[in-house]
Amino acid sequence: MVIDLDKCTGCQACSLACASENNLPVVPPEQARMRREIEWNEILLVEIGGEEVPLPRPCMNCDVASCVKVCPTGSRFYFSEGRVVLQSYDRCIGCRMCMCSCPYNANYFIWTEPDWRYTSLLNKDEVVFEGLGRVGPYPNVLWIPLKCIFCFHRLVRLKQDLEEGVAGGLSRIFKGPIGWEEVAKAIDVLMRYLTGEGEVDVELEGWEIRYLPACVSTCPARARIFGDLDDESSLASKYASSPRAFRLLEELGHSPKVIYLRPVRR
Amino acid sequence: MGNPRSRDVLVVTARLISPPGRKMMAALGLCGILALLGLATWVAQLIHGLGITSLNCNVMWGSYTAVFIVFIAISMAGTLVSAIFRVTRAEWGYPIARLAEMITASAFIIAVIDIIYHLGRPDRIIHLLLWCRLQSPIAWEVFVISTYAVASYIYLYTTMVPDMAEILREGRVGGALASLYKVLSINWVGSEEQVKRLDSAVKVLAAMLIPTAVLFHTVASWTMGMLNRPGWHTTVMGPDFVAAAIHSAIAILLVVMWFFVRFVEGADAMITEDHFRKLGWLLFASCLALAYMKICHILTEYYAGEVLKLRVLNSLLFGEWSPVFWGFMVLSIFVPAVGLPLVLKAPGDRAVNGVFAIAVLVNIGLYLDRLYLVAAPQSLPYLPYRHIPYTPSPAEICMLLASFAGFALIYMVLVRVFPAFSVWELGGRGEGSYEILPRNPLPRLILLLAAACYGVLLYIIARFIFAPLYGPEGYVAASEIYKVSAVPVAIAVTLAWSAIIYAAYQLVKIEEVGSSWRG
Repeated sequence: MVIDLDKCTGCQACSLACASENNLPVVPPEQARMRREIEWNEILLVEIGGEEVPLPRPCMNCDVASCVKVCPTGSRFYFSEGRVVLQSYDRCIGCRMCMCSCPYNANYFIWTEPDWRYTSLLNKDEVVFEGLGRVGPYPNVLWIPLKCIFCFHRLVRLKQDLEEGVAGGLSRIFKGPIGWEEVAKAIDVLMRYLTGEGEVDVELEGWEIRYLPACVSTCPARARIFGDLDDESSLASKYASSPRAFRLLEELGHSPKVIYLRPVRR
Repeated sequence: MGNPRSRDVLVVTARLISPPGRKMMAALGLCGILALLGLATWVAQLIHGLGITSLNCNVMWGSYTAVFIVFIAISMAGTLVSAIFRVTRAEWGYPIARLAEMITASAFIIAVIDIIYHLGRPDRIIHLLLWCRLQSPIAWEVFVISTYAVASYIYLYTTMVPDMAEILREGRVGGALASLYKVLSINWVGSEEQVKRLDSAVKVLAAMLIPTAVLFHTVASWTMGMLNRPGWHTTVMGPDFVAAAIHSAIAILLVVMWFFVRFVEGADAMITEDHFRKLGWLLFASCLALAYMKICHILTEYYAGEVLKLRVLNSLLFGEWSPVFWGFMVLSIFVPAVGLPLVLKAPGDRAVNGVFAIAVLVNIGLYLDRLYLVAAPQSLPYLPYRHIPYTPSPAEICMLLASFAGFALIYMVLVRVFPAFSVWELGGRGEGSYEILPRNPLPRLILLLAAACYGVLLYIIARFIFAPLYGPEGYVAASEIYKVSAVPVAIAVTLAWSAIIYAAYQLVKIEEVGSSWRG
C-alpha cells in the first residue's frame, strides 16, 4: 500500500470506513480517554520537514513482522501469498506480546465488552482457515488484540467472485483458473480505474471498487494506492519507486509494506 | 557454629505440624480474606475483561506482569539458594535450606496463577501446548518455568522423604497426615544404599537447578529484552533480572526466617543470629550487584545519547516515572547499601530486627523496579500517540495484595503440613524401626508422569526442528533465523528434564530397596 501524504487531507474518512467495514466497536468516552479506542487505521500528526502533517497509520503488514516472530501459539501468521499478516481469532490466547513487540503500536486490544447496538448492520463477512479458525472481521471474539489485515476478506471475496465469474467487469478479463496472481492483477485494474491513471482496457460498472480495502476505496483524495509491490508493472510499484517514497521506522528492519510519499514543500 | 542436636530439630519440626494456635489462625484468616478479595477481582475480570485494569493501547503489560515477575523472582532463588548450599556443602545453611525451597514451592503456584489472569483469554491456555511455537520468548518461558517448577518440587520432595519417615517413626503425627506421610515416605528405612541413592539424586538435581535457575530468570527478562523497544532492548536485561531475583529471594528468605524466629517456639535453636548476619551480608552483596547492573544500564545509554533511549531514561530519572524509579533506588539499593553495614554492627536482636526491616523494604522496592521496567518503556512509544500516564487501577492493587496474601497462605499451609527443617541432615536418626508398606506405587507414578512430560517436550522440540512451517494451507509462521535463539533453551530444558528423570528413577530404586528390606 502506498499513501501519498501530499494528497492526504487528514479527513479521517479512511478510519471511519475501516471501523464500519471491520465492525470495530465504539468505546465509551471515558474508555477512549484512557487510550482504549479501537482504530485500526489511526491518523497521527507527524512532523515532516518542519511541518505537521496528518499521517494515516494502518498496520504495516511487515515482511519481517515482529508480531509473527513473538507469537507463542502461531495465531499471528503470514498468509503464504503476498505475506499479509493475519490473525486467527480462535487461536489467540491474549498474551499481548504482539502489541508489546510492534514498534508502530498497530494492535488494538478489545479491553471492554463493546456495545453492539446495530448487530443487524454488522459486516457478516467471515474468512475461515481450516485448522486456524476465523481470520475475518466478524466480531464475536473479546479480549484479544486485533489489527488491520488490508481487508483480507475483501480480497478473498474477489477471488471467489472471479472464480464464479460474478465479479462484474473484472470477470470479462480474468477467466479460467484464478490464483492470487490474477487477484493482484485485478486489484491493479481497479486501482487504475479508481485513480484514472493508466488505461483500463475494460468497461467497469463502478461497484467493483468494493473489492479494494475499505480505506482505499473510500479515500476522497485518492491518496491511497493498493497493489502488488512485487509486480513491477503495477500502479503501486510505480508510486513506490517515487523519489518521495519513505517507510515508517524503516531502520528497525521490519520491512513495512506501507510506503509513504513525502509531502511536497509548499 | 555447631548444629543443633537431632532431637531439638525433630521436636520443633513436629511441633510445627501440630494443629495451629490462635495467632496462626488469625494470620491464616487475614491472608485468606485477602486472597478471596483477589479471587473476587478475578471473577470480575472474567466477566468484564481486562478493562478493569488501567492497561491501554500504550501500556499493554502493567502491574500484572510486574507481580508475575516478582513471584518468579522469589520462586527462582528459593531453590537456587538451597541448591548452592548443597552443592558447596555449606552446612551452616542447611537449617534454612528447606525454608527456601518451600518459598519456591509456594511462590510458583502464585506465579502461575498470575500469568493466567494476566492473559486476555485464560480459557485458551491449552493452546500454548497444542500450537506451541518455540521461536517465541513466551514459549521459552513456559518451558523453562514448568521445567524449573517440576525440578524444584521433586527436589523439595526428595529431600523431605527421610524426614517424613523419621517423624512417622517417632509417632509425631496422627490421623490423615500419618497416612499421607506413610505414602509419601516411600518405604524409607535409612539403609546405606537408600542414603547413597538419595544423595546422588539430590546432588544431580541441585547441580542442574543452578544453571536452570539462571536461565529461567534470563528468559523471563527476554520476553521484554528481545523486543525492539527503547528501554527494553538491552543486553543487560538478563543479568539485571537475575541479580534482582537473587536480591529479592534473599530478602524474602530473611523475612520468613524472622517470622520463624519470632513466632515458632524453639526455631531460634536452628535459625540463629549468625544466619541473619551471614544472609544480611549476602543481601548487601546482591544489592551491590544490582546497583552495578543499573549503573551499567543507565550510564552506557545516557552517554551514547540515542534520542529514543534518552527519552525513556529522562522519564525515569527526572520525569513521569521518577517517583517509581527513585522509590526503587532508595528502598532496594540505597537503604540496604547504607543500612545493612550499620545494622549488622549492632548487637543481638537489634541486628535481626534491622535486617528484617530492610528486607521488607527491599521487597517493596523490587515491585517498583519491575513496574517501571515493564511499563515505562511502553508508555513512550515510537510514534507520537497520545500520552496517557499509567497508574495501577484498584483491581491491579487488589491482585498485588492478594498475590502476597496467597503466597503467605500457601507457605503457612506447607510449613504446617510438611517438615520445615531437614531432620536427616541436621541430626541423625534415632532408635526404632520403620513401618514398611508392602508396595508403594508413588515413585513409579512420578517416574511415569515425568517421562510423559519429557516425551511431550521432545515431541515439541522435534516438531520445531523438523517442521518449522507446520500449519494449514496458506499458513506461514515466522521461522528462519529466530529459531537459533531457541536452541540454548531447548538444550537446557532437555538436560534439566534428564536430571528430573534421573531423580525420579532413584526414587523408584529407593522404594524397591525399602520394600524388600529385612533389617
